[in-house]
Amino acid sequence: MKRGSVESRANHLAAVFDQTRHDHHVLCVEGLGHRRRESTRPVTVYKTAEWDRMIAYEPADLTVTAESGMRLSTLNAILAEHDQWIPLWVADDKEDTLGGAVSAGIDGLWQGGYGPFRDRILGLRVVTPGLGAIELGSHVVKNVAGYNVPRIFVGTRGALGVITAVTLKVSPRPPICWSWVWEGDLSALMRRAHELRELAWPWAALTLSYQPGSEMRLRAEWHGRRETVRYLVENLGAGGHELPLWTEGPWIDRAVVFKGALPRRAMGELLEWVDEAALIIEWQTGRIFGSASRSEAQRLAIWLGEHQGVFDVVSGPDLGIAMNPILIDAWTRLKEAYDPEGILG
Amino acid sequence: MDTGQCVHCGLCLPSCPTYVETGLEGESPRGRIFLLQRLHDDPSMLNAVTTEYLDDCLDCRACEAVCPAHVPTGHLVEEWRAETPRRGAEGDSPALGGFRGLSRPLSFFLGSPKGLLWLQRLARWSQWPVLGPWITRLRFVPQPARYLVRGIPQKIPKTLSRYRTLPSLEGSRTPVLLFVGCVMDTIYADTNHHTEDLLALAGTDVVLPLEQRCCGALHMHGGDPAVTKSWAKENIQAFETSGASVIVVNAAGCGTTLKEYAALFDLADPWHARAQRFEAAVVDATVFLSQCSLPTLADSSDVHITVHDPCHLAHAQGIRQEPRTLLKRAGYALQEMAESDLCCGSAGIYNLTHPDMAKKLLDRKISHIPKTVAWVAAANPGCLMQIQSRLCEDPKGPGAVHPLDLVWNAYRQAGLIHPNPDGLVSR
Amino acid sequence: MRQQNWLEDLKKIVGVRNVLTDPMALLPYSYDGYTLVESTPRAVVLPQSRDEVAAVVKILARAEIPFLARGAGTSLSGGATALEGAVILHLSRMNHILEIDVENEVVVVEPGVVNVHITKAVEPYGYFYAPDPSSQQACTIGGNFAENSGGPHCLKYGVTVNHIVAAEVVTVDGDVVMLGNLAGEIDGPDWLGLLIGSEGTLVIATKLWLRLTKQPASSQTILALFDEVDEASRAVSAIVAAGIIPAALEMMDQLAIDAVERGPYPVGYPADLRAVLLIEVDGERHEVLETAREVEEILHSHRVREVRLARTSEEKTRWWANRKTAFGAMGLISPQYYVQDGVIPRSQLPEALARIAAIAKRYDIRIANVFHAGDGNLHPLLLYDGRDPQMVQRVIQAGSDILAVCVELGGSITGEHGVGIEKIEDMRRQFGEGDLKAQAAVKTAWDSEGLLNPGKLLPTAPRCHETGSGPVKRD
Repeated sequence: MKRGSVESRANHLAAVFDQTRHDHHVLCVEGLGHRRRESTRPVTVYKTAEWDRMIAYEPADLTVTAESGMRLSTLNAILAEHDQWIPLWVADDKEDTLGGAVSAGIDGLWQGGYGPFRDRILGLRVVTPGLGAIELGSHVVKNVAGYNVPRIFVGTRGALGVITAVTLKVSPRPPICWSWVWEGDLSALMRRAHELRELAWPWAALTLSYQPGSEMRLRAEWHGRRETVRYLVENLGAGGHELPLWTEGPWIDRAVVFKGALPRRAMGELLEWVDEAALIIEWQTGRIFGSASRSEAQRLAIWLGEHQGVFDVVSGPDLGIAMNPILIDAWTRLKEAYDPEGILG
Repeated sequence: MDTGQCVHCGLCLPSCPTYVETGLEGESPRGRIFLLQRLHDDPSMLNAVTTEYLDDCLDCRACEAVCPAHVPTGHLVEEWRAETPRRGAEGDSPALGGFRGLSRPLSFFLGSPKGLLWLQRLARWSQWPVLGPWITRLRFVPQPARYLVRGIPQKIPKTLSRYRTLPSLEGSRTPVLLFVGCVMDTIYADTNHHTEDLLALAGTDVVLPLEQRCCGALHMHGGDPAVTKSWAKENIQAFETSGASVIVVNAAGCGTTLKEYAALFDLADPWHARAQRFEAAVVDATVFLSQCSLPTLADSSDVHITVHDPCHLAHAQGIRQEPRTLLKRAGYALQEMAESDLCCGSAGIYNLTHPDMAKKLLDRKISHIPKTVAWVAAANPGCLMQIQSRLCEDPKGPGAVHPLDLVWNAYRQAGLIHPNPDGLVSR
Repeated sequence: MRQQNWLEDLKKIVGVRNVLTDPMALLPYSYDGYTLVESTPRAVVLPQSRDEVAAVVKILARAEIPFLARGAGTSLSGGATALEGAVILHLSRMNHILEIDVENEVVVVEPGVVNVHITKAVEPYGYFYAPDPSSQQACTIGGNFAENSGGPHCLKYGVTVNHIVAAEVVTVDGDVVMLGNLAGEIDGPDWLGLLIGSEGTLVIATKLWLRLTKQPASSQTILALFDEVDEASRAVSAIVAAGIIPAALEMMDQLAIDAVERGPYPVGYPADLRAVLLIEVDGERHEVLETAREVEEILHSHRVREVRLARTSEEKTRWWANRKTAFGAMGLISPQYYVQDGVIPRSQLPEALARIAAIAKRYDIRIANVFHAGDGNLHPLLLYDGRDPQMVQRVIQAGSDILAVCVELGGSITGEHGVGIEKIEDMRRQFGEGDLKAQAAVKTAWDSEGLLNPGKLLPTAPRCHETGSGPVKRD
């Protein structure tokens, strides 16, 4: 980014901080706005959609730095010219900005094949009320200089600072992506999922999905070489390019969209237990994504808690999950440095 | 003392039995090297703690085998021990003092065939119900030996293995010299006979010069290299007059010492070159036999064996595969144990001088022996005695034997070896 | 007055034999793998459980005595050396693998477990533990947690932070906190991700839950022998540009090859070789076959002298053992060495190597290069003789110049060895004042008194420790 624009973003944000403070509001920074959590305090919404400049892209280094308001699809269109991409596909098919994906701790279905999205975050440029504009992490794929501070910005929804630019590790785009789908009885699909893992590994995604009123659905997606896909077709049947994830069309019309994870042992149990929620489980990693009514979401949160899992609201009401008091202390002290007046909530 | 190559990388730590057991940096090879460096710069730093750390070294050479810079920790500690007497007694640990007390009786028992016969007699008597306890309480027998003596074979031959007339084989073949050792010559005399039979089966002529001596390893480890040196000369002479071109050894500890004879003599000393020729001829029996074309026997997979890798075989000589190759060829099924190359605590006479550490290491070793095996094979008498001293507590459990005993037994059952009834083998 | 009793209190917790105070017992603890600074700890304590660690920490915190945890002491940046009279908690006896949870693909270990022992323990179940630092035969998992250790295979599999799903840690106040979960997903702020790699300055880990990785169905190890360093580094970029992410992509130059060939695991490289690439591809067998074929093609288009494919697992093991003993093997070609660890963007590899060669010439020292070429993580090994104080100064200066090159080319001052004592001042090269304040806030959040592993990582921390003036003399 040209020096001028860094300063202008920082100066501009400083003015926004002042205004928010003056209004006794909480600043809520938004990308596209569909990962919004309800807040009890009056909010000033600040949209970053215009911050969409590419800052640096070096294909040979597998790294890219762009402004935080850039949409993932925009970025991927640029990366595609070099057969590269950021493989993030969220189960609701909604789009994210780079900053939004980091702040909301969004992750996608391809974790099995590419690892979690947060592992791609190499560096962040952040503007904070307490410390001004700061640079965190680095621009190279490997770095252990200092504390891994970018991590604390993942999923904390901008409470420590406003992300203005993101440096990510990119991946080569595979020669071919191919998928297979099966529907039917849960135990048969679980057996099949197990067999698929024995047949080849790792799958880009191996998902079991459930929608109330529909059959259970297993979907396997391979990203790799044509020779492998040919072999898989011999074993699994024709399959197809981008077969749909869900049996039926739009399903996210419920109050709460959630994400989370659970230990592998409990995956089958959850699918047997789930009733009124739309739910998808990535079978290699135990990551989940779904949508439910408020009460169903609450029930699910409790169930996951009991099974050593994690439940997190992507959009909808804040379900108020308690934090360990020692961690609250650490958080409070960190907040004192980054955002001493609590402008960022 | 040159410890210059140590770059402090620490890769040696987990290979060191005393570090693994204590978790103390000072009980690790890197710690010992560091202490030796400091003592070299300022000998007045020596205190009881330092002596204990240095003296606890088993000389198992595990660290030397993994060291990227080949730092000879075991040798450096040995060197330090050799210098210690000159410093006087104040730096002596109880363990080193213990060795000095043993040095003279050891020289008598191990130093000549007469002494060895006495050692054999005492070992045999120690198994008699009344005489046994009395023998193990003799003044020169260290207290921990009372326990260790349980580890010796139940049948000890009445004469030395070297007194055997071997039948002359047809055709002219290059003779090989079997190094009979001391403990092997007496307590494990049968193993020596088995080795001879296997060598004959492999088509070699075995010679057994009566003049050969104990290799001197125990004196070397204990800091008394003068004795080792004089015995080395006798062994070199015995080899030179034997007409053999190869020296076969079936005890790992002896093999290592024999392979390091040249270092005992100054470069200028004419003995140095003679020792070098001697060294070059030394080969471990398992290596020698695995290179011969012994027949492959059908699997008798009901007999499971686990292999303990003696330190002086695996670390000092880099021999790991050969005993396994021979056992497999003889039809045995192998089941590996964890940490098969971690010292069992025997380490020469370490188990007599450092009974506590030796016991801990033995406990560790025993805990790793798979429950289903019939035998623990170890190609070194010290290890055999040490491991068997515990295994004997469970008559139904596995026993410790030399791998060549097992191999011999398999070939004998297959009808390929016929023990010679005319030989002076006492079975 | 409390100051007087803390030693006695410690002995009550862990037993008299597990508190070391004899100067000769402490002496071997005055170094780790970083030998330019020597500093003896005030005492060494060997706790054997989480509760003992917590109790020891409470006593020390009350007495306001700084402390740090140490594993195998293989840190190359001084992370395990006690400064400012700190007490060492040596966790060597907390070395048990507690549970192999195959169903959840997790292994639960104490911090003193040696890295390679984990892979050995899970191998029979078809798994491995991916991060494999070159010191893996000795380094402990607690140290890996502290340093966020990498290794050759992190090119594809990621570093330690990508493989620890949960940790039980003791805070500076002696409180025990559990972070993360069996599912391996963040739950609120990603404290775990922040604490991994904090170089022991924020917490002490007492129990770790590690993710197991399925063994790849197939793998192929490839050696590429080059007559020119430049061609070798261009081949590295070409492989990555072709969309191939090998499991590992390592490079050694002539001087490094000379050293490892004298070490315990010689491969038999020709003596006139200028560079060697050690490449491993793994995964589904069709992928491996095709990828290996493509890698070979790329190598041949870069004037490779010879390409060798590993035929047996013994051969593969030997090639790796040869590579992994490279640092220690420097002892065979030089009395001492100083290893640098910097990262550059991969595309700058030829430029960086040329600049390092120029630095070697300018300071009249020999520099061997062994590094993770695939991710641009350089390990220049600066050879010197500690008896020559001028040479020591030249080496230190050359090392610093190399880091300046890394930063200038857009990289980092450390890819995996950490900041420790070594690079504390170099932090200013990479970060501005504000950035450093943001990091200092993290330290304050967890350890406001600065008791944990003082004198490391952050240049703003007060510096009043006793350090040696140079490397220790060796004769």
